Amino acid sequence: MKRRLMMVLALVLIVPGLLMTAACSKKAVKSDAALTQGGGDTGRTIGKDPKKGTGSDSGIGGTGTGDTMRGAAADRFVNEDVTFAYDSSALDARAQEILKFKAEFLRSNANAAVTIEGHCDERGTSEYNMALGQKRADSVKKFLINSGISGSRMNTVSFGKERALDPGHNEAAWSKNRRAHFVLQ
Amino acid sequence: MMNSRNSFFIVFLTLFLPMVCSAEININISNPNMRKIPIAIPAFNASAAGEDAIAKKGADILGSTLDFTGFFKLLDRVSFLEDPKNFNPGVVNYRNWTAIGAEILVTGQTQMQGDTLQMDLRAYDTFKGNLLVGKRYKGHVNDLQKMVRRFASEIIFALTGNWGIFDSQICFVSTGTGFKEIYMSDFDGGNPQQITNHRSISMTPALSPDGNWIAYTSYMKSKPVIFIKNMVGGGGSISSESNMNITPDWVPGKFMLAATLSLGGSQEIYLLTGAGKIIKKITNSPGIDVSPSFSPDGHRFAFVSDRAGSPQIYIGDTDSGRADRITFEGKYNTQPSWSPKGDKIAYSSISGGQINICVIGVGGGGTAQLTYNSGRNEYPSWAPDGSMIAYASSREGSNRIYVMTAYGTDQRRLVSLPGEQTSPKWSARVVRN
Repeated sequence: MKRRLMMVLALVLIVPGLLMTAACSKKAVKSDAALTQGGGDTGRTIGKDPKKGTGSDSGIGGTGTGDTMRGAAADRFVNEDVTFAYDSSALDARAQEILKFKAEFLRSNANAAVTIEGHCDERGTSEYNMALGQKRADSVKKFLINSGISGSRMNTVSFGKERALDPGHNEAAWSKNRRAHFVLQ
Repeated sequence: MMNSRNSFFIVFLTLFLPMVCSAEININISNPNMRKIPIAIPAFNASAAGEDAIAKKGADILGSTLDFTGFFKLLDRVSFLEDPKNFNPGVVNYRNWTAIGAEILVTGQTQMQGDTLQMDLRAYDTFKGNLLVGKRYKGHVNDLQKMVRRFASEIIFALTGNWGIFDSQICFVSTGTGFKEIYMSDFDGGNPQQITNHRSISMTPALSPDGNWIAYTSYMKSKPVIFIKNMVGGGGSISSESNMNITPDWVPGKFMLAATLSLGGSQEIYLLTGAGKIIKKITNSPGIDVSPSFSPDGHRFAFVSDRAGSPQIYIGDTDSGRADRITFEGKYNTQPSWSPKGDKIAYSSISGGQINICVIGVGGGGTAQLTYNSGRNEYPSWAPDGSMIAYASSREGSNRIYVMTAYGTDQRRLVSLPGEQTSPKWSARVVRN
């Protein structure tokens, strides 16, 4: 999909940028400022103190050879959604497998910060789905924290049923839409 | 701001004090089997030849306004035995009206002076042979509808003891611009106006009981935050106390809201100040608590919780923190709306792949399903007098705003706008001159 393509593109452009510069810490300052203004771009508050305790050059900083592998891993990281059963935020075996990979990726890319988006299928009502999407994102975040990833690197946002991945009106579409999606910052 | 019609002025006088009546015509909006009251509204009597069109239009607007409530049966003018031209103001031959079955007769007398329209409007109880209410209105001719609606409210007040819905408004979400934006219309869907332009996702609007404030959720700031805006003077605040700030509802009698926030990994309902700051948490469960809807006295609220494993309606108490489940049928009951009379909760229920509007007593008994086999039916919201329910339905394909009586009768579409319309919220009665 177009959106996916954009994200991959963004990754290709952004990740090297993150590696090379101190852009992260600048961004953090900006986010803080926005936050204190009350209701600024707080969707990015993960920038608040993402680097606490993890050297800014650890993990992905040095190697130039891993580019393709890293690209593939990053691709997989953003393209592979965790999916859920209807009206559930429980992580089944498959979801946990995917999240183990996500945790691994985040461990080996210690500068990476991620937004976890929670989504729902179209069947329920919009308000409850907003809360359910948040519960799904929170459930994923909790799993990753338990896997050793710092909570400060992860932001959550719920889109309820507002942004279906597949516009279909059948279980095939719904099962894709009940998802947690990962966006690298 | 949004209401340029506020600037007009209307002068009205009580023409005659109605005889203190123990009215036999009694509209009991709590009676599901209520018989519609036959009402005769002849074209108003123009004082000069050029006014006939205005005089007829006035009577037509009054007819359609009253008809909206579902309380009345409008009698066909063809059956009338009397020509309005022959009316002698204040003197009515009641027998000519009881003979055709009319229980209420409304007469009007118009008089134009430049752009100023004066109307003497009178409603009679034909069987008792007395005046129910009579008023004189004077204003710009462009405010004909406003003046006629005022008189319609007087008739409703004379018959029911409350002021009805004609001064209320409905806010809703529409996608006509390609984005979910908030709109507001008259009670009947007329005069729709777009009131946000965030070009984002804006949803779940709620007007404060005094009509001066609107609260809604928007993603304009990249996460769902609550906008609280003053509808009169402009200004307001943004409440972004957590990653997710959704489903605002106003607390009756206070400049205070309740909304769901997500702090500490749990979605709970909090009381917020009118500026959007947290006062206290009023639900407490490990999972989802969402969609507060307050009782008229402001002490209790209906809400949705998944604490028992599926979304169900609960009644919470803001003081004690106690919560009681009231829905037990079905596995997906959401979107509670507490009735203005305080005795019922309307909600939407998913069952067998359908979503329909239901009502249930506040104590948990007396469930009734109001919509059937007609696409998605959701987002119920009570009219301020409790006589009707607005909701969204996809029965014609796209989602549109509909209304029905509190008993599910007279279901009809309200607005015809580009895009889809959802999330109607009926405001309290707000009178601005």
